[in-house]
Amino acid sequence: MSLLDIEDLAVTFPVDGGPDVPAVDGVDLQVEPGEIHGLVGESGSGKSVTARSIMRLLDGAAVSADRFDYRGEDLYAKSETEMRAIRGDEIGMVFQDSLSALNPVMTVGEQIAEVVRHHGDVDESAGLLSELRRKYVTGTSKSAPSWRRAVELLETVGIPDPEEIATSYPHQLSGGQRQRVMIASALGGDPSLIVADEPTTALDVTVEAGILDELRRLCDEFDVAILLITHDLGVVAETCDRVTVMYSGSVMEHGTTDQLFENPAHPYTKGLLRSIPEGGPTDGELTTIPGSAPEPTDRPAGCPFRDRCPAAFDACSDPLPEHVVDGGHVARCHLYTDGDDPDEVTWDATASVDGATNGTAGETAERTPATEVTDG
Amino acid sequence: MSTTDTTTDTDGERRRELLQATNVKKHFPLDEGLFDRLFGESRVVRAVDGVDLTVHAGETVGIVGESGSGKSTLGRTVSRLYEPTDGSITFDGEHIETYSGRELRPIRRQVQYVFQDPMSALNPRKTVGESVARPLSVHGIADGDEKWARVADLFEEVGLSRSGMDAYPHELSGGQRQRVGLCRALVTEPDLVVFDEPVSALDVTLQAQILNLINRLQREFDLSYLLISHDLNVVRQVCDRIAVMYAGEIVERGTVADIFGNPQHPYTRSLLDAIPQVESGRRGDRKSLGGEPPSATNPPNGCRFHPRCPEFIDGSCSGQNPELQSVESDAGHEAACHWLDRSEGERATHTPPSPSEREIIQGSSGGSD
Repeated sequence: MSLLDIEDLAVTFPVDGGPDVPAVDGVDLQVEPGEIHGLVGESGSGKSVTARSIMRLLDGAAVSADRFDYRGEDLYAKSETEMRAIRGDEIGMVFQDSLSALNPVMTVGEQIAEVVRHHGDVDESAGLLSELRRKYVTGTSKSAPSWRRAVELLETVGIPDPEEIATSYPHQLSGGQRQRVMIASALGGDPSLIVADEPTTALDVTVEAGILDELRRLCDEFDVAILLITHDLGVVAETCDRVTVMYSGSVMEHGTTDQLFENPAHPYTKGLLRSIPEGGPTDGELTTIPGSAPEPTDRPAGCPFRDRCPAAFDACSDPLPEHVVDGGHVARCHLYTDGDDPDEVTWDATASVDGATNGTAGETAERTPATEVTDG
Repeated sequence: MSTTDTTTDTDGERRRELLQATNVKKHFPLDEGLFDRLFGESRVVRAVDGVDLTVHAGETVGIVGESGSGKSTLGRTVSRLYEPTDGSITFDGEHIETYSGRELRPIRRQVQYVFQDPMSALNPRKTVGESVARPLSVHGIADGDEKWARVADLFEEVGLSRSGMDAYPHELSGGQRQRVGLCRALVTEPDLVVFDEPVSALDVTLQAQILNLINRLQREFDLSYLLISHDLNVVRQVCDRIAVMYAGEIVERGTVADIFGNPQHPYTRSLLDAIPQVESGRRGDRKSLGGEPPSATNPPNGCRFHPRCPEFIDGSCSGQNPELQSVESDAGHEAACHWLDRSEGERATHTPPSPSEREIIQGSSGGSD
């Protein structure tokens, strides 16, 4: 059984005096215990909304799904009280911007100790009165189990001199250290799943490498699954076991990291991989996907990528199909569905897509921007 | 594109030194309260601490480094948005380091700056067309119909429609705003454009579009670029020469081929190792560099990288700050390390001492303050 099993998720935000915004439309996502699952997409693709829907942190949005199970139980059938226990105990969250996610007037040790008291396995009162006394009068005793656990957690996430750091305030720490504090605090309730929303985006590449190593190690050591939300395919390639690619509110392709990087099937995934500036110095142009993603209120019918897709044809206005490329590797693309021999069509189609993107890259790059402008 | 060393004179005009900075320093005073200011020692943040930099006409020079390395401060100092604390800056043969006010006006026109976040660089209450046209009035370049015609042409040049001129910044997407930022930089027909993280805020597909545009504009308008980025992949795509900065100093510089093909400074190697790889067979190979960049107020003695250096050797590393010296194999390639030209084998078998052992080594070798 998957740890997290979401089928056909749709999230719509109502807008005063305007049409509703369908941020996410038809997302399937399965996270297995102990894996690192990458959820990758450009800004506006709905990846963060999907992540927040798991924590039920979307106030005012209409969320619907055929299935939204965590450990086989429907998360959206739970009461708010039950949900509060699940957040932290079962599912931890790490946000991108650690400076605004951490409390600026509490030491990081206090913040982690609080999580431990509420969600962890320590025998300390976490009632309102004792929490208030701790917060305004005594502080957490340095010999209390929750404080000792907080220091331990800081050590676990690779912070040197954890006792000293525990008594620091967030602004006194570097971005990398703060992100480690966030991870320590997410681990405070001993969760089975951590949702990490762009945990390294604000960090330098050298620091990022350290944080990702840490996530990988925690995943192996503590048997915790991580849903890693990122726009960076490099991060996915280095860290994840499986990947789900989102575009404009829908899943385009999912599979193992190897399947996706060695044998990308969806034209969008191929375009993304080509856009990564890599390889030797080039005099030529970078290949890119022409145009930009459609507004959520203005998506074409059928495949949301079809206006930018070099291989688009008539069938693309039909609802997205599910094409199984091979075990566990699914591409939602019509290219693969209308032939007698799916395999043969697959390869022909792939070749023509390649040709189209390579051959006209320079030209499209010149031409596209004009179409990029909206009439605003 | 000539990417060989600076002395190769393939084309006299192209190799003209447009911008030359020598031993440039920019220190910011730390405001520490009245008592400290009156009686204490004045402390400064040494954001840029003695940097030489040359940009030739028609070339693109990249500056890379982690946040806090001083790369943005360097960009702003050489383009005279900041006044240098020390050192000399010449632009087109003219010393501009002490210019102020009116004297700087022609420089403002010839050197343009493109900021990372166009949303905060553009006036939210003016249409983007007005924002782009403004420098034309300020510098008295064009007026009336001619002004608007120029702006409209430029909008088309960067791939925006003429009607886009009437939009306000918030109505545009991130990619469109960055195109407007480019328009604003190009409208005064500058010689040098300084880009500060031009694509960091954009998605990867948009990054590629903007980088292509930047390359094309350089060819069309015969521009020189100074490009600041933390992203080595971006720098690799658009630059001819690269300078790697660490803690306010340049630790290595050379052509793109030098830096990526034959990196000499351990810091450069660490940066390259930290780039995530998507190619098959290389995924998961990335190595992380431990530790944190040093404080710019109180940089370490000796080589500023020595506390983190994975190739730390001995007291010379912690005792003396190395100067940039030429790498024998490549002309024009320089690195600031006491231990250049060690073979791969030597490096692979070397186990550096732990940070605490380094302190002792430093103590015994009597590292000067």
